[in-house]
Amino acid sequence: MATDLRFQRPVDVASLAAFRIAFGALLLALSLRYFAHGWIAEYFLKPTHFFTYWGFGWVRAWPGLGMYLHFGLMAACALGVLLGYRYRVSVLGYGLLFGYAHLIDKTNYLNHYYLVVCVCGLMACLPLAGAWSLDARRDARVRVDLVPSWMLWALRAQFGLVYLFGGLAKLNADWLLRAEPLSSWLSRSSDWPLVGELLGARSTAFAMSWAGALFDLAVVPLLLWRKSRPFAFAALVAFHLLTATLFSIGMFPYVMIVGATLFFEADWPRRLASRLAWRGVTQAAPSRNVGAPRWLQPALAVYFLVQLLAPARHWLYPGQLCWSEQGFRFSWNVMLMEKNGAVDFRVVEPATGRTFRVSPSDYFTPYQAAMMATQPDMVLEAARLVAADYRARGLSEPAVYADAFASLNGRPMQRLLDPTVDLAREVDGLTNKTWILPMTTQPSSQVASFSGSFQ
Amino acid sequence: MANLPDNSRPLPELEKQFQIRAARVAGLALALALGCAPVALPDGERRVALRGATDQVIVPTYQELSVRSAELSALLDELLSSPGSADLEATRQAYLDVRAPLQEAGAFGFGPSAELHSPAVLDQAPVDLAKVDAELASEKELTVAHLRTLGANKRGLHAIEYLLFPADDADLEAALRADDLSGERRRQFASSAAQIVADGAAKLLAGWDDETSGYARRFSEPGAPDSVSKSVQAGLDTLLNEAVVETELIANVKLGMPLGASTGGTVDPSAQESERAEASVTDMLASLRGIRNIYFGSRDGVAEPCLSTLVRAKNASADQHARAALADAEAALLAIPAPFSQALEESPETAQAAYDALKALKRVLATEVLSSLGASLKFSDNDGD
Repeated sequence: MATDLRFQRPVDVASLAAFRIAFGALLLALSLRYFAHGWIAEYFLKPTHFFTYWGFGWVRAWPGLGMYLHFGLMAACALGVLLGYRYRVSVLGYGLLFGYAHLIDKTNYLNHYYLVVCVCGLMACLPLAGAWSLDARRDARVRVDLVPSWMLWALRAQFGLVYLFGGLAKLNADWLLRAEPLSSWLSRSSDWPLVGELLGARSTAFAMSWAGALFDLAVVPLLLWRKSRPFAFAALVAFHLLTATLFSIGMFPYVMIVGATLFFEADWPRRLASRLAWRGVTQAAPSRNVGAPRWLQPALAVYFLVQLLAPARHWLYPGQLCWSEQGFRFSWNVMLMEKNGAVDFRVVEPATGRTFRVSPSDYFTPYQAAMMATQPDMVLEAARLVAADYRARGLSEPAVYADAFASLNGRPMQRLLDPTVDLAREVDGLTNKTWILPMTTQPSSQVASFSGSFQ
Repeated sequence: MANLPDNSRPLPELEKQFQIRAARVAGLALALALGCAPVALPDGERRVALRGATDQVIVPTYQELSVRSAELSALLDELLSSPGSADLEATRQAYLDVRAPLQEAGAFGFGPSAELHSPAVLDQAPVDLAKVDAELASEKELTVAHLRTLGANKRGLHAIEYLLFPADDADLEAALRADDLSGERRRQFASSAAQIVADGAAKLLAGWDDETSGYARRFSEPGAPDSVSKSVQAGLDTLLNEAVVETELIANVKLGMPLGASTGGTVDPSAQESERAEASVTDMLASLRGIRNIYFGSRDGVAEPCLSTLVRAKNASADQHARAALADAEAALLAIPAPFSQALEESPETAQAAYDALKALKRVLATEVLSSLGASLKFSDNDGD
């Protein structure tokens, strides 16, 4: 079939190799940031309890210096990816180590951390050390000049899905008709010299909201079309640098900029090197192609089917996604909400009626408690932990109720969870959590729609 | 073959073109940089609010704490030198006067307060009374230097409270004025403890107010090389997050513990922090006042623009809810009949109402107020997306 032929067409491995080098550098920075900011102690050693992922309760933080060693190994693996030294072990090792570290506690979930794990997994299946690597230098059998184009498309698809689902998720009333949460976030910078007033204007928030949604939805097709590609890439770089400047989103913009280089022609690094008159960068040799194990293409087909279906799973649950957060993770819901919450627990001993008021700060760090307060599945896990603790203290069959309140995108706060449901009796799982109350509050007139304060 | 480089033009020509383009871009960048020379800009409301909270609330509170602490120390020195004629009532009032700014300062217990461990140095609770008694009964000289070597739970304001209160205890007053070694040691202990408190308060003030290295300037003026706030917003985030934490502290510890909130409703008057001075509710009101002061940018009214102004500009109802919650919490605390120990036993519903009002305040601050300022409650600077 023509499509098959197109995807089997050999292309230069250069862009994949360049991606490996740049992505490896980002992975290294990502690991070292944990040391530099003290995040290893903050996120893995300081907490006494963790919020585990469903089915991954067995994942635990290493004791003692174990987590430092863990992140040190990650840095070593990242260096291996960058240099192309024992590449497959390095990238697979990084993906597993990074994935393990972030399976320890849901508190630390971030979309781009998930993306990093996905990309590492894909990279481990692809011969990205075929060029410009220590592996290729020391072993001629590793050297590859051409790869079937589906290998390039696999990584393009991974990054493309982030933009696609990120854009689709922005097609909601809060984003398009109220410019939230951008309006709230941009107003944080309204004191900036020269541009502060502009950033604080609601018209700017609306313009950026619409532009952001359009950008997410259009950037991949525009990157794929040769004529629009340079402009799309320039816009992409400007967009991500702007978001990096305005918001605290760490490495995400840089990961996406590096990912976008995959959309250029496969030989762009050689062309660039040629223009810059760099010596040592040779032409691709047409005779060297690489095959792939038979299982790989079907496995990738299944993988991408899951990648397509997972972000859509929230449609299986009632209510608003950002409110219930059922099906929220692993779905590229990027920068969608300004949500804050507060939770307190009531432990009731049925036999005596005695009530114990429990603050999340008794069990969790302030950061964990703040993150938990807006995410029902984490509140459930906390409630079950509290129940176990009070059972251990001698209470008979304690019931645990949550007084959980949240405010989403400028709305007045309201109860997030049914305060009459004994969460100690509820089981975590993939079924609908009926104890999440529907969002009924309306935005205040000041932040609702274009009226009034539109400047 | 597709995707292979187009090398039709010779490399030297390409290189030359590249160099010309690079020179043009560099020239343009230089022109832009020169064109963007610094100009004087008016301060925005957020910056003014941050500066106002710092200069009109935080620093004056520490100034008052320092002055009041020195006054208490002077009165206890007078008691030491003239036990018969010293005005014990004035000394007790001076003690209570120190507590007010100290409790208010709980709403901004970051920076020098955290660095100097001020809450422990000045006001550790509870005090180990048995160990204080052991020190009094010992033969050690109760100098400032010696008291500094003691743990925080054997000195500080609550140790002074132990020696000065209850106010209506004639035996205690007699012991304090006694012209014997025991009385002398009590007075010496109180005097030395007060000196340590005064020194601590002075250090705290200097930490904030020092002209060259003061935290006040470094906190409220982001952008300077030695700033501790990465941005104006980061400073506002700190103020709001501290207010939320302080509200929790009042509800869970200062009120919740004696109320038995976490012990199944078993009231425990001994768990209150200022039982002997009967100042527990006053303390809580002062702590709440500290939160109020930060929100309104003033210690006696409202100084616009303040956090309230910024919230109102974004979401008027959130500001109304915050104001109402602050007023409700204050009214609920004032409604607890004195003495607090008796109220806990005889009318715990009043304390429970105050507890609920404080929790309601925390909810408003932690949700609507934080959301209005885009100040998501965060204590860590990780890579959020």
